[in-house]
Amino acid sequence: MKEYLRFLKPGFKPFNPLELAKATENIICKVGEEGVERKYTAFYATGVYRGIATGYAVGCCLRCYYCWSEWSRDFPDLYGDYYSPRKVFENLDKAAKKYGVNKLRISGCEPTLCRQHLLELLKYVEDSKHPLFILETNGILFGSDENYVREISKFSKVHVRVSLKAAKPEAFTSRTGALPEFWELPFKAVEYLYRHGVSFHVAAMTDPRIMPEDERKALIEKLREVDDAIAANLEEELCDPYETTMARMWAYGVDPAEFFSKRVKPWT
Amino acid sequence: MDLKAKLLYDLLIVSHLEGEDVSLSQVANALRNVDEYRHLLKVLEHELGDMPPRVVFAKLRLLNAWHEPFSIAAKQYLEDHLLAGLDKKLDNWRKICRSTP
Repeated sequence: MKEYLRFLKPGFKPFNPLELAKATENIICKVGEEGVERKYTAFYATGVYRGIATGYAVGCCLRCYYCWSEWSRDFPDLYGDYYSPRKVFENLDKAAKKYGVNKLRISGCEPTLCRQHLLELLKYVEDSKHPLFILETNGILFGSDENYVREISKFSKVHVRVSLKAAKPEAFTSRTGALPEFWELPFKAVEYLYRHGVSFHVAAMTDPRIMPEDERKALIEKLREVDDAIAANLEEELCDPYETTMARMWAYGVDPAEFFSKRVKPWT
Repeated sequence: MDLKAKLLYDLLIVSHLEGEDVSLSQVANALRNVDEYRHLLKVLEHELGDMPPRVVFAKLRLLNAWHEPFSIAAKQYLEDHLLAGLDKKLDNWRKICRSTP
């Protein structure tokens, strides 16, 4: 990948998300004295998941035009500092104690980048008193390597949230910028997580302003092919007017004022 | 549907719009005055009350004692609610709200 892709513009050239993952890892991961370090911008606790300590990490391998992550997604070279897995765990633990919460997560990025860093961090979590670590992923790397999912399945405190972007190849490309032939990787991730007995649920951006109803139904039916129980536990997402979302929409040629002025009905 | 499946079916419906940022115990408030659920709710909340419902459902699916009831509830929920039209969804929510204290 010659030029690092930051956000989508009209007429963009679709990219290989596995190559973008590697290019991003070259920026956000490095080998330090205590193992593989990764870039983070902050550690804090927030009210989502009924209170959770959060490490805000840097870097992703998709470029969704409605994404609400900070600019560290698009400019990983400009944001964050490197932390070892031990230091990340200490910071999460400190934030959890300070705010009186016991769940942990990494957010703001694709946490499956920097595999060794994540696996080392999960070892610290496993040995701790914290009962739950939420791993929010787009499923690209899990879907491309079943062994990665097998490794994750060894950790009892991990709950994975796989976020699906589309149920059709062309829609996958127009929303994420990735080449259409990669659209099924997140569904593969779902299959692997299911096969290896990992605690997980699926989320999808089924906001009717982004995903048409027939595609929403196709997505649910595709999940039913794995198991009705997986489809029934679907978390449906709505798009909110965050500053970064609106800027990315604008850059992509979608007028955010027009987009958000459309009234949303719950999924019909 | 047996009682476990009925409870999970109702929990799926009340968790549809917000199953992540609340706890199981909060969602369960909608079903508190259904006498027949009292014991099962107590059992669920003892271990998982602080967890978000979606995490709870994922974990129940993996437990022998809850796997089958969850599968039954899930199948019914898909037909009756997730894949149903808006009117039907509103009707489902209304029914549960009516039973809320």
